[in-house]
Amino acid sequence: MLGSVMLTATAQESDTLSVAEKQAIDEMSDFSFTESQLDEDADASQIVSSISSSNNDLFFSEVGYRFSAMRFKIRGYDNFYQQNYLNGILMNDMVRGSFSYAMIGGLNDVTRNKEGVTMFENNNFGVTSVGGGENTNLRASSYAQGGKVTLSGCNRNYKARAMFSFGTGWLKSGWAFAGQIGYRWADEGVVEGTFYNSFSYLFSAQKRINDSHSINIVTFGTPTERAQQGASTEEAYWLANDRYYNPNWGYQNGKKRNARVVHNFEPTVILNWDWDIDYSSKLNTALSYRYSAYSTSALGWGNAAMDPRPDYYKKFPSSSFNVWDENQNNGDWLGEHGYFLEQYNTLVDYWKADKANRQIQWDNLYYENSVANKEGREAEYYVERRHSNQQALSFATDYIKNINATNKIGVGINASLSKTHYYKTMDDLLGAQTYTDLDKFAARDYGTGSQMAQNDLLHPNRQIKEGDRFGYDYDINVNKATGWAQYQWHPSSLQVNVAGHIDGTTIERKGGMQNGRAPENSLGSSGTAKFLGGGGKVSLEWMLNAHNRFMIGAGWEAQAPLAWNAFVAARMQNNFVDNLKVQKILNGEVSYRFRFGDLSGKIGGYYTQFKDGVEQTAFYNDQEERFTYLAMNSIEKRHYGFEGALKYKLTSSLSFNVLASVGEAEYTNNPYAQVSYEGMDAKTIKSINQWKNPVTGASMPLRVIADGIHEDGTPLTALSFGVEYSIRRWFFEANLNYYDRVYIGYSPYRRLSNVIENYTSTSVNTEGKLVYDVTADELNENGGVLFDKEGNIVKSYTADQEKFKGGFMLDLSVGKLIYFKKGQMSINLSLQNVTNNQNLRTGGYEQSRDDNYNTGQARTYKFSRNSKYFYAYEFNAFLNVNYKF
Amino acid sequence: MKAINVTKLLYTAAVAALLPLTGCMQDDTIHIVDTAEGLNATAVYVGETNTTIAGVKQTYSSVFSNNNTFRKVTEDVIFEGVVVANDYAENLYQTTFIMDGEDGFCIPVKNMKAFPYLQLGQRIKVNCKDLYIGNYSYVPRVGEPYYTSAGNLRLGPMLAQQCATNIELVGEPDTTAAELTPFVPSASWLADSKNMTYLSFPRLASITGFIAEANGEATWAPDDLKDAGYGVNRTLVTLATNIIVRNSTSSEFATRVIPKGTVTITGILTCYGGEWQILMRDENDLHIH
Repeated sequence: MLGSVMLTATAQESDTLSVAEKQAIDEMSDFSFTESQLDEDADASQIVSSISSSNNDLFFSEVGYRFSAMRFKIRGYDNFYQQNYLNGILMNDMVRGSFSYAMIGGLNDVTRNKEGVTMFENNNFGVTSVGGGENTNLRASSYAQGGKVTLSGCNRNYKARAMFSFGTGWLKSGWAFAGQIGYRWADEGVVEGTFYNSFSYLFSAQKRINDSHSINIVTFGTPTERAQQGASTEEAYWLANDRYYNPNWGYQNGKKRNARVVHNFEPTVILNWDWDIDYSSKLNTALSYRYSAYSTSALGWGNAAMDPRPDYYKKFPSSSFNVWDENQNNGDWLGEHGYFLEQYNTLVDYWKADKANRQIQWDNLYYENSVANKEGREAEYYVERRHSNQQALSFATDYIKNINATNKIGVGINASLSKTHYYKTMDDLLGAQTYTDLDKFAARDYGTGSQMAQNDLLHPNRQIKEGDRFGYDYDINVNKATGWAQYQWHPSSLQVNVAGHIDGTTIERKGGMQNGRAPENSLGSSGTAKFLGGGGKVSLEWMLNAHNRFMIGAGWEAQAPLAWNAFVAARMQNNFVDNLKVQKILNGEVSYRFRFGDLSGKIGGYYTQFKDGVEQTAFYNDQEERFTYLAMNSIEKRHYGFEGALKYKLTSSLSFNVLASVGEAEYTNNPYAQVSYEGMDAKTIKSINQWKNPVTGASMPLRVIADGIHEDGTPLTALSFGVEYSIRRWFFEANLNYYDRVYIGYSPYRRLSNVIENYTSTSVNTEGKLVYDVTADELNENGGVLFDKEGNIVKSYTADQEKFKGGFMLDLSVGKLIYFKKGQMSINLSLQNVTNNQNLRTGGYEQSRDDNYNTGQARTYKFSRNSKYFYAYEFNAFLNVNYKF
Repeated sequence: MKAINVTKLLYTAAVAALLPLTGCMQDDTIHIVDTAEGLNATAVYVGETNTTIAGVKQTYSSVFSNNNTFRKVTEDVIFEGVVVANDYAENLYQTTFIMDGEDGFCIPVKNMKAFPYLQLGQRIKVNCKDLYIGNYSYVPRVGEPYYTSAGNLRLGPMLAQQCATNIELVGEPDTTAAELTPFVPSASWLADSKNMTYLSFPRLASITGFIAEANGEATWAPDDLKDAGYGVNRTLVTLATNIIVRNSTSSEFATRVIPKGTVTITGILTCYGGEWQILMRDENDLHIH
């Protein structure tokens, strides 16, 4: 609602207090969405999703902005369940499914004109999935005439932002032009060791050919270089005395250098042809081309080198002594084993003594490489750059017809071709002179001279210099075509929406290297997997009167799996994940919207069921000391909950509001699993993908014991109480938000059925129940699978998933709108987390490693107690000043 | 339709365009670090040498005589030696050996790659204060106790942070140091069980014989033959006795085929379980006749 109100108000030069309020809020909400919350930190597990900004819904229009600091996911949905269109073209990434907000980052002033809808709302651009969708209008004529300069300062990812935008409106020549350029910058962001350097541009030109036809071309991009924050353990935060400790950087020659630097540039061009066929029907046709160049750097090291990451577990005090173990941390035990506490204290002192001690020691890496040079050895350490460059060509055409006052139809097609090129290059040899393109894990296991060690048999032992490709090189090709139709019947007290779509998707991998571990199935085409999807939905809204509306909706659809999840170890081979099929989504929703005098609101509930889902994780597996892929298929999940929004206007200038989202999002089965290790041959991989029945010894399909695991990285309970007050073009707003039930990202690896403990019944008790040599508490904490004496599975327990402590966050904002003879100025100051609550975890993830050695002996370091966390930003401020003329 | 002040628009656009575009934020200048000085991997000064390796073996004889025992050092015990073996090729995991004349000692360090700092021929001073002196399978060493993956309490490596406070580099590496010339034990010396004592090892030595397992296919340390210590033993048959050639599955030569015929192996000679054992430093320690 805010976006559309803003545009309308600006166009009309309206001079009302409410416009001023909303304008100020809008300036900040944009910031909250596009900079702080969205996928700026996608690979740091801080991705947020499902920002649905429905223009007509009191709950959806507020919830994304209000809860952005905690990276709230509406209904717990992943962000690929929301469709994002620009000028009618679907712009979600073809491989990963989600929309890249970085593509339009910094273009705030020209991306406000949005049509946002929830799943069951009728729209003019397509049939949306459970996360709803939005279409941003970038046509030149849609921008208000005039210019706007915006200057911002903050202490978040960047420090300063400057933007200039303009719109000509329709000129006498029949042309309209609009555009924006902007720049965002921080030599160091709020998180130490990060920086931000981003330019943004958009130019749009529209030509009215005649009263019925116009064409528009728009191009935009945001070349960006930024350094990332990494999550770390609670122990690291304690030792650094900083909840925002960032292990990604270190000193090089006295200057800070970050190992994880993202380069991102997605230049896009969209051509539109709008045909107003008559007063009641129109045809919009669009063609777009997007080239997305994304890469991120990372430290690499050889077998002979030590792990250079400062928060590698062996470098922590707790790797020497577990202070939380009551059996050891007592006078008697320490009397005999005091040396462990001494080592612990030595490491504590070291971590605390100097900031440089707890960061990457770049100079040491350079020195060790220089010695390697002298010895004729290869690089011990290096920085690699992982690229994913996508080209996408899309076409869409929509026909909208208002048949009469009560009937409206829309039909359309979308077709997209995409090719995404994945490869890595040598970014920096850190002073070393040589590096051979071998897989270090395979070289360790099978020898440097083995075929297995070769990353590319077509170029064995390729010598790599800076800038050269190595490791992996492949394309993922995804093509998709969708046909859709929707119908709206809107008599006086009723509104019925019916929509359906049918999709065809093809997925193919084309390998550019012949991998030594998969010589037969890595080079060339994987073959093409084809998926037929589609679905339908219907909603019925009954308007008791102008102020009371009841809605009920239901939908079902089948979605092709994401190409990102479709391959087992895509860096190495062409194999598709087993049991790959379309995911089925069943969704139902009821809501009631009302207004009683000065009280308005919405309450509702939803239920969504996912079936046959596919997910994949890839991580460095310390247990196996190699990169690991774990794919899950046949996943079943369920999301359900309650949503509510209330707003009470006490006076024309004072109002109170309440927002509430209380839901559940969880796995409801134990999916099948496929594990693949980098550098391991197919025979060995097959052997580790077995789950032996502890009674019969029979081989069973490997599973992840995930039943009951909650969706992570979002508060499943989010409540807010807000106050808004405005007077003489000043506005004030305060929101007290409460968050709870944020869960950690679970490790499927630690819950594999052949990793988790299996128990066989030892006897039957007097009540006829099976008896096991394990307690219920142990099962609930560590997980386990119970078998009867015949080898049948009786019950399974997933290992406990950490739930973070809830807490409050107070946000304040103040704004002022000033009118001049020519133009107007808006000043807004937003203060987030005013009470400086540094205890709110926004997310994190478990480490994928066992607490025991392969021998069964317990390690000192407990991976299960040392997950990695992200915290919500401490107190921060955002000042925004803009001048329109 | 409102008229647009084009001049104003252009002016504002120009100002915005001239914002400080700083380009790449990371420093792209070539960085060279060819000295360990200032890197804090080793100490600047650990005190004056007050004993020798031989002296330490004499003073702490009780902890060297009993297998896998150790004792904390509470005063300055400072000795010197020349690095004769390190973790260069990963066959010696986290382990460096030094010698002073004919006397050797093991200096294990964890969480750091030692060989760039403790290079062959480098003379070092070791202050054992606050560390533990003892033995691991009778091999004298200075380090810190730890539990192995099998759950046994042993004297393991010192922390990298202790290397930074307790080990000092003396001068530059000297590859002509006398200690780098391997000892060539005679058949009678090897056969004499009196030499199987911590006083005689660890020691850099060269021994000639043939590898019993060499069949043209066998490799030094295949993964499927590894024991709990991630090692594979091969047998060097000499005129005097059989000697274990201990190889790590992580070593750079683990997958190399063992040559048939007479070979001379250079490495760190120790005694394990009443048998002589030798550990090659790298593949260059293998000489095929």
